[in-house]
Amino acid sequence: MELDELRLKKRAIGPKGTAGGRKARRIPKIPPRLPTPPPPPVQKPRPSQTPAGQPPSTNTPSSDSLKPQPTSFGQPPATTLNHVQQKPQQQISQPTPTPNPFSQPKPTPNPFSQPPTQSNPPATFPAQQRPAQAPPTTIPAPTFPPQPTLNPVQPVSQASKTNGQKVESSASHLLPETNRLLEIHGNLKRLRKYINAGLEQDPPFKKQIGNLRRKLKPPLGQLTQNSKQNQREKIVNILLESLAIPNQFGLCDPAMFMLDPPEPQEGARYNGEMPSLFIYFVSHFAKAVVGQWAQEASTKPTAALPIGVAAVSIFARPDFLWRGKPLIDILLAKIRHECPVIFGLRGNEKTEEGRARLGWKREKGVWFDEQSHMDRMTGLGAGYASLCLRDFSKSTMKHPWPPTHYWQAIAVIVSTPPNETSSTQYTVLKALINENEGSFLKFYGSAARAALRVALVDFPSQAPKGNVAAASLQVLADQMAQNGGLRVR
Amino acid sequence: MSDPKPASLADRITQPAPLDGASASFTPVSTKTASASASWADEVASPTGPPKTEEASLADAQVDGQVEPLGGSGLHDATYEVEVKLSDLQGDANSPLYSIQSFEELGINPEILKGIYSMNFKKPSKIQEKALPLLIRDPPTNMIAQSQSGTGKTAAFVITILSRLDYTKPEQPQALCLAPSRELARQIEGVVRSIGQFVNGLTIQAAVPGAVERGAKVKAMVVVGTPGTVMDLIKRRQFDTSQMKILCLDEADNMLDQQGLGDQCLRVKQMIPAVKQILLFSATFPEEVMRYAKQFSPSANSIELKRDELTVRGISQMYMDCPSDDGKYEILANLYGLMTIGSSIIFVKKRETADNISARLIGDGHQVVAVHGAFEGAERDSILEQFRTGQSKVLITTNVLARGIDVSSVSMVINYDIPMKGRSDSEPDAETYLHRIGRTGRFGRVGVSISFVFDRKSYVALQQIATHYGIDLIRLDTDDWDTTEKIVKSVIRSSRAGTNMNNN
Repeated sequence: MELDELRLKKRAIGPKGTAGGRKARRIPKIPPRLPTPPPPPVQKPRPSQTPAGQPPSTNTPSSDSLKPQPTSFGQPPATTLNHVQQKPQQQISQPTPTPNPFSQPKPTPNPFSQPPTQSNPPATFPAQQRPAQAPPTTIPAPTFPPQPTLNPVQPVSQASKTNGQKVESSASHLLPETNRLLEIHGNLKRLRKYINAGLEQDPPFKKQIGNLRRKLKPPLGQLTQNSKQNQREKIVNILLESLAIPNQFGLCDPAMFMLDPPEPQEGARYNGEMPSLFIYFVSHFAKAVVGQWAQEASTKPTAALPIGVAAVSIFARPDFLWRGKPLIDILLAKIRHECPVIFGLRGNEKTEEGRARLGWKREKGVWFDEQSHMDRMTGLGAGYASLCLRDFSKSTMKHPWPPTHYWQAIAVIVSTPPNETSSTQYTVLKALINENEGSFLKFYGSAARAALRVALVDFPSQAPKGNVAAASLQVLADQMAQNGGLRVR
Repeated sequence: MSDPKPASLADRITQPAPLDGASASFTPVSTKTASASASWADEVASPTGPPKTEEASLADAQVDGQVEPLGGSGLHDATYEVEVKLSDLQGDANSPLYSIQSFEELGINPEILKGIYSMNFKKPSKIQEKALPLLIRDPPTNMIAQSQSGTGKTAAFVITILSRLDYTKPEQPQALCLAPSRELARQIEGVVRSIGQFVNGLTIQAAVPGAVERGAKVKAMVVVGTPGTVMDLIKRRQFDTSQMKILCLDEADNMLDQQGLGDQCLRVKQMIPAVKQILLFSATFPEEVMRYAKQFSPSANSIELKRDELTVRGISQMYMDCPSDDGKYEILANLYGLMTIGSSIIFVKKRETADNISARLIGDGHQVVAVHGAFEGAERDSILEQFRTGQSKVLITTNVLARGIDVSSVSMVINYDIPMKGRSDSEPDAETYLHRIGRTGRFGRVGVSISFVFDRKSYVALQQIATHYGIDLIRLDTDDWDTTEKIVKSVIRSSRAGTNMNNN
């Protein structure tokens, strides 16, 4: 609009001459290359392969989204609700991993590693295993709560921005919740759209909601190590208010926003549906949390902690539970969307598709510059760690996203074969570990030390020469040795 | 005592000369720029992938043919991925952060390199890339370097200093770095410590008021201080300058331009005749000061910028039309809900205003600190440290801290009062404006600056500043916060895109 015009105008008269200049320099899309001969057929598909880093004792990838779907390609599969309830996942309720896989006496063998040959499934294999992807056009009319025609699998939002993007879902290395989180993200997006559209019809109410919504950000920005309680209460009050405001948006089924929807629970405050407006506010809260991490923890990793602590405690709060379970998957869905490498996605930073898979953002068709991207990734990595590594052992509440997910995030990154790694992964890995080694050791003891060795020594040592992100990961090991006396080498 | 005095600076500043072809930026163009162009793409994205032929099979493995729902034509397409456009990869050649080399290629000692990586510097910025080879080359040559705020000037001279030291003499002062305020000196001291954290045997000392005891000797290789204190220490023979190798002035224009500071700098320089290399760094060098600077640092290499290159593109500059001077506070409080803000700095004119706002904001639950000239030195150090570590998120200050302070998490700067100079504040102070907004958008990050205007005078002043630098300021309204929120978002977005585009 006007702003853009102004900027464009400015560009056009700049000394180097350049809005056009930019266009001129842009290299046209490369025509399809001749397909390289397919890789030599690998022995056989291994549907039962353990996902990277999952302790073998736990369930195999039982994610509904990874299972073959009977539905054919063009046809929308069953409704979200049924879809989810039929195949609950067990990921969340999983206890802290049994120590045996990690307690090997020698840390030298990579505790995560699979033999490298296993990591590339043959090109043809996933085609049959992939879940049906809904055609991108079938976004239902803006009605919420959902009609039975809703698609459980939404078009991947980041994918839809890029032409020719391929969706990641084949690989056995993805963490089990990965795809479902993307669906949840899509559901939230539609919910916000639906409510925003409704608000447009009612300007005074829109103003009221807008003012309330804008109150979510300041307390998050004001969180510090010292005075958090007060700020946290402010957020809680906003969310409580959103539960109470009378409105026309009705109720919706929180199962749409959960990885593993629970059964009704006796005595739970909410067993049926919850106000859509509340979910809308929780969704905005989740966005604000992720934004704050990306903004603040990117340059100051320690800033992630108070935000993570506040987020976990707000989600775990009895007022906001559904059937006794926290709605934290709403936050995870946002993290999954913004920082996919935590959940196992891989990509080549020199290709458009690779960048999209890695969560590299773009604005008006231009990729964020490298520094901004890596900053974001640093903030989000630190944020995810601050979320997982909370100690609930002394609390009456249950950890909504226990440390085992932290282990898995590290595992899924370090088990990337050397030729598929990316600077994004090194950066996120560094952010996950930096300043968190203490808590990690507390939760996992010597297994954590072995893991740190793999993450900070073995993994980056296989990086291509001259990769600065990997080098700075190695420097982290030196820093830990120098500052905290923790030797992992 | 070391307060910058904007008024005296203002009186003597002349506007930079009109542009001419000869004053092109970055005069000492290294020939490498051209010759290395073939490999830009390889270097910039920190390549991690295998050569292209393998890439295709890698793509196979990853993309699994799920293209039909997205309008693709089946598995066949899955055998390639579109490469990122070259222009995206290499970044914007006009950006001050653009570079084609790595720190390794610049020939920096590995111990220093580790420190650089630990600070999350990945590639040299333009100023670092251009200046460092000249700075660390033998024999030592003087340098006058100008580069936009937040582009790594400090790191450039710190790397130089660390490369020049004789580590067998840990108690012998060998490098001196001067800054106009104690905060800045402390900050530089911190940067030396960070970059030098893996350098064995490095010793550093600050020479700011109250930091060195009377009678005690200065026993560190690197001394960072304010000119007055350093001068006193040398006079009292607490500071042995006989083996001083390198002298560096940060915010050099500000120091040389002020009567008191300038004289002190000159005296210090005269007391260290052995010095082999004199470096002057700043984001601004008004022409008159530049002339003096060239005498101070004779036969120096110089790196200069044109006036319209001075503003950093990552900073979205907006202004808020406030109903009255008193109405500004309400608006201030509302701003924090519009966008995600890490830390922020609010610049005001008077100390009383600073105290006032800080009291009100604290009442509203913000973690706020205020710093101005009325505070004692040590107190100022600890307040700024609180801000730096994030214990407080909002800093309210006067022009004392307009320059140099680098807190990377600062994502918003507010000009609660438009900076003015001259007798009875008759003229807008463009330099100070530039330095103030430069507290955000550090090292290519996105930052926001919002200036408050409420009457004709403040409006005209801001317009003049905007015209001076050729900035387009975006107006924000207070009537409809929903719309304001949208505008702010879109401005931030375009500046994000702008940081990576050819848009000068």
